[in-house]
Amino acid sequence: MRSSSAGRLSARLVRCADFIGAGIFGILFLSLVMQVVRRFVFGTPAAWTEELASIAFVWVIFWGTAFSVPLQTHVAVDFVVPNFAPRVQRVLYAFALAALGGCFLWALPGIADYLAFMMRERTPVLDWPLGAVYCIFLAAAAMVVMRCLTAIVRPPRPVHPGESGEV
Amino acid sequence: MRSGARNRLKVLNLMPVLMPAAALFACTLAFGAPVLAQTTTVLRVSTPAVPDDWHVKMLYVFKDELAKMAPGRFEVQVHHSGTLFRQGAEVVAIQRGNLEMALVSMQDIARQIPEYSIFTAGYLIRDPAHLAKVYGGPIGEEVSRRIADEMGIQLLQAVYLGTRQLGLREPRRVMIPADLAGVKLRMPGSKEWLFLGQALGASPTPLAFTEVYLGLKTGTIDGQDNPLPTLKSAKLYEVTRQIVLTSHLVDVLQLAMSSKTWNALPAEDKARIKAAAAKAAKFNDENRVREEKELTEFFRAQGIAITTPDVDAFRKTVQAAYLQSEYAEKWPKGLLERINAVK
Repeated sequence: MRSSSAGRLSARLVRCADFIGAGIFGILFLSLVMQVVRRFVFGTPAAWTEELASIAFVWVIFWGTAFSVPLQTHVAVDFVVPNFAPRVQRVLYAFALAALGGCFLWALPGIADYLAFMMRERTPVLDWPLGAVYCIFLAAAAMVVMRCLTAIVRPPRPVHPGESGEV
Repeated sequence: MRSGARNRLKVLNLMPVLMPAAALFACTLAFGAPVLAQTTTVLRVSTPAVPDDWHVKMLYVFKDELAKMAPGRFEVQVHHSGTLFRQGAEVVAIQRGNLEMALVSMQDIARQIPEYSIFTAGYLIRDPAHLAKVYGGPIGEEVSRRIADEMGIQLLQAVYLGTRQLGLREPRRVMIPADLAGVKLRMPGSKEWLFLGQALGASPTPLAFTEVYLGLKTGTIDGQDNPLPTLKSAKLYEVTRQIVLTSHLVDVLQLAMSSKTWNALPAEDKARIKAAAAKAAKFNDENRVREEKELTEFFRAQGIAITTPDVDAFRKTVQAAYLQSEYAEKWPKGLLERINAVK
């Protein structure tokens, strides 16, 4: 019973993350539309639209990577792993996940230090601190570590059997 | 052929001697590296300028001068065309210890010390000579000290970047700022630049530099502002019918070094670096001023009208706009007057 309510909560969180991702994408789209309309319809181009769009672009990528896109649907190349027995495959996947999660875990202090440093510079138009603009990368990196750990403990099932994550 | 065979034989005979020698050499490389590092200092310099630009040629002058004064003491590595760090990222690269030297703009510095946005204002510096005197005198010293203290960057030498002039796609009578009303003037996409465009009396339009040519051709923009050599190198003169010599911004770049690297140097090396930087700057400044002069003739020969507006009227309007802006509120008290007073 506990696990099913936890499952429902996590499903809801995933849903929330998807909505936020879609929202960021909406901001990206609208700021580009605004740019075109203000430049070519009203003849008074704004500088902030382009900046907002590029920030939203960065955010949509990292937000999506870390919070929305399931681990097994990320682009992956597996020529070698499928040739092994399922048990060996699981070990190899665990090893790969540990390597990926380990890299991001190792990088976390460096990322945090850089972000803290970048608080002193601001974006040219909106005047937002760059450390805050890039903080999504820290969140994404931390999330990747967590998701790798979870996937080692509880391996996710492939979306479709036989094509686990290939694109 | 015979002698070749004999030579090979000789080498084979030498093998017992060569092998230990090679091993010894490898050991020296491995263990002697820290010792070598003390005698040779690597100076990586990053700039977005392309090899044909005087700023890159200037860096090779710097390198050669240093090699002449102290052979083997420095290894200057010139990374041009933004291949090591993109434009604007050099300051942070130096501060994070990833780069030793760069040509940085006052705009980059003003991002961390907002008071120094004064050095990005239009009609502040009058001409290249005024520029050299301001940055080479007591004001420059004061500015350098503060930048070293707050940013960990040592300014070595101010170099002339160019004087920004207006280029228009359609001829127009431009004598005073009011004549530019409604002109869609392309500016780099940051608030400081857009403010300058507005102060000049035009409607500033942000556009990436790479889109300026097409923008002028299609009429997305009516004009742009850049130093004349840029009009030539980016072929903007092909889509320009008039150049208005407003001379609204006499721009500077600073040859700068990481304070960490600078402070680790003995006094004699500091003196050598300053001397080499001064020679490099002289080379750049002379060539740039000459090129700007020659280019007016070149553009005239291309059938472009070159007009001189009432520069004093422009200066008054732009300076007044700056003084009423939020930027001037941050400027250090009395600095504007002191800069103006430098003869």
